[in-house]
Amino acid sequence: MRFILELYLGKLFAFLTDRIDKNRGTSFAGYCILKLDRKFISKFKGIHKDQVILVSGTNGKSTTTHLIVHILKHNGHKVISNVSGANLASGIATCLIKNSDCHGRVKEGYLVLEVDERTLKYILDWIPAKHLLITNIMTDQVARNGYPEFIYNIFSDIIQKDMTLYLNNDDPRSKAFESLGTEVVYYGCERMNFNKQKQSLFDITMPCPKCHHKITFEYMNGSNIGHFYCSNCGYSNQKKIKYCVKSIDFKKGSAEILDTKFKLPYTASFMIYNYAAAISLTHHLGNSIHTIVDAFQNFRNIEGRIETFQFNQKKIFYLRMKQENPETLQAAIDVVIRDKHKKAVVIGLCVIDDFIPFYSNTFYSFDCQFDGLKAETVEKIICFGETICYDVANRLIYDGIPLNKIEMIPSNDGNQILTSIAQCQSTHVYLITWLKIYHQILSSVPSC
Amino acid sequence: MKIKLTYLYPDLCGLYGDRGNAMAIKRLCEKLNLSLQIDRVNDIGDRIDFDHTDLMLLSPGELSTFPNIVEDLKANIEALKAYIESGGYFFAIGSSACVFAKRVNRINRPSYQGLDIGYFDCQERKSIYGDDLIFTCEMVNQKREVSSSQIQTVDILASHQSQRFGKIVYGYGNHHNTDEGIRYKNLIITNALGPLFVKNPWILLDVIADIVQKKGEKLDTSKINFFLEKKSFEVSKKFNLHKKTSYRFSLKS
Repeated sequence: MRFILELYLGKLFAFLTDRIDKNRGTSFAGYCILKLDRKFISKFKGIHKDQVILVSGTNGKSTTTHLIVHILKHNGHKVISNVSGANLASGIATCLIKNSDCHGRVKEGYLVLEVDERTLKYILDWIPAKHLLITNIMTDQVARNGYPEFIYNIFSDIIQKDMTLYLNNDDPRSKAFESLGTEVVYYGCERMNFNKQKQSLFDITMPCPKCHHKITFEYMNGSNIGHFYCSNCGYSNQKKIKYCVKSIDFKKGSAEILDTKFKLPYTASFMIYNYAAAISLTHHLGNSIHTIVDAFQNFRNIEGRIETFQFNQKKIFYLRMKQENPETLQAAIDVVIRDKHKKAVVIGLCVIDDFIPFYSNTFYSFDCQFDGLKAETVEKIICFGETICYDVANRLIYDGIPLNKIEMIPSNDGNQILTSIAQCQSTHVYLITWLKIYHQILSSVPSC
Repeated sequence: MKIKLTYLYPDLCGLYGDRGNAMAIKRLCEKLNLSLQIDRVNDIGDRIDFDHTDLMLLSPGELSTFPNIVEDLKANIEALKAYIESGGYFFAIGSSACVFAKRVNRINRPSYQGLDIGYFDCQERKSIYGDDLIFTCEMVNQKREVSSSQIQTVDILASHQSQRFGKIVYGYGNHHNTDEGIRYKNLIITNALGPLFVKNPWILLDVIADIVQKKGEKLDTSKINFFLEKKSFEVSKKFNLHKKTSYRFSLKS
């Protein structure tokens, strides 16, 4: 009876927030009801374990979830999901409130949930799940997640023995969960033509998640993602996997998997891993590779990954990075470097303001390489951010970028940043910052 | 003049962009026209040359990595102790304090013994704590201010025998008190990330000047300019001492 009352209250909140503020509509109702009853999520009925798919990990959760949902729908399946990126318990509760009847019975079909790494342990307590896809385990939000092993340990403790695990064969940490599930499906990518070979005296790899000795990479498709081995314990990639993306051609925008060509609209390596992950899961569930690939024809990703807008006769490319997340910063830098046009680059790392205390961390920029920005095609680099623009400028100087090529703006003011952009000669401008700041700048553009 | 840096286990302990400290040492040596030799100790079991090194650096790492490192250094314990007792510089950053602790108490994972140099223990925290960290410290008889960040995965529990490295101006430090880090001779264990030498090159300059002086020479520092770092320090201090988003134990002086 109590659950029914909470559910009705939740439905009322969801109805009202959808009408008052759409942006909060993805989690507000769940947030309120979870305050009343922490185990509210566990009380829904009609959830079939075999049809529950959880997507977790550090990077790529949203895109992978979105791809899975899109493919399943394209193949005629009914799907419920929190694709809007509300991946905490409040977002998942809201998703269930909106997609259940007045008895709390969840609608039929697959339940595909993007789940925050720290929230996963609660969700697994509350919702029976057969399928768990892990994108990767990397450094992210260090004031909350500390270090990758911290998240790795959480996952190790909660993965259930009867689960089917979908693991990134090229990520040493993700792959190390292979001993924990009944069934393991690996996905990965073959060597990409722009892959990185770490060689400098200051390049570092990572400790082996099994024996804590050094992991060596023969090549990398991303930061600590690639062909790896540990010479102490012998841990390495699976030699041959079913779901390996091959013949990756960024210029033509195509790649192959299971001998089938597919369209690749992105040039960022991590995006290809998201595709590999989504293909492996949906194919393993019984969908044909042709209908999966066919679904990509009309796939449109969620807002804010890679966007463009016009300003002052310039094309501004927004590349999203996440706070304290070196992998997304590096991926953005790599996209800039691959563009051979003359260009300006605008970087805003800004104060970390997820929760109190706010702080001025920029040390994660030392996990990235900026030396590609020394290229002559880079006209100017604008570093903005009230408290940290000097640290970012200094970071660039460490990678050999001359000071006279760097402009510092100790502010997040959109007008000030746009004024500097307007003074650039290049017609291509890359903006790298987090989504919130991007929206702030966008709101200062007269035509947007 | 040649200086030798022993860069310990960077692949095993490479968190929080701390390789920037090694890059800062190289950069400052170049500015000072000093030749720098960097010996990278890549993995457990690799040879460590304590006899001909001027500076050792151990960056923060994952807590499960340290027992292997402790065992590896134990195999060289006499040479390591001789290096530290003779005043050799050793910077252990962030969680690598665990290597020198008497005991590292973990939560839901096996606890372990460290090398027991510096008279302190480490306690794994239930939750991670991140914030900025500003403190004063004494480097080669000079009082210095340091601006940095801190990601606290373990608390440093000092004993009455231990000596702190710095006094907190803003931040959390070792364990929610006014103490920052541990100092034993020139073994400096600090929570300061940033990286420390990138954001505070004046600390590194003191260290290098001392190393050079001990070799019977003097540094020409007249061309050294820390313009960006000083600007960064100013804005960081202003931000932290005036922010309304500080945690309750902000210790403004």
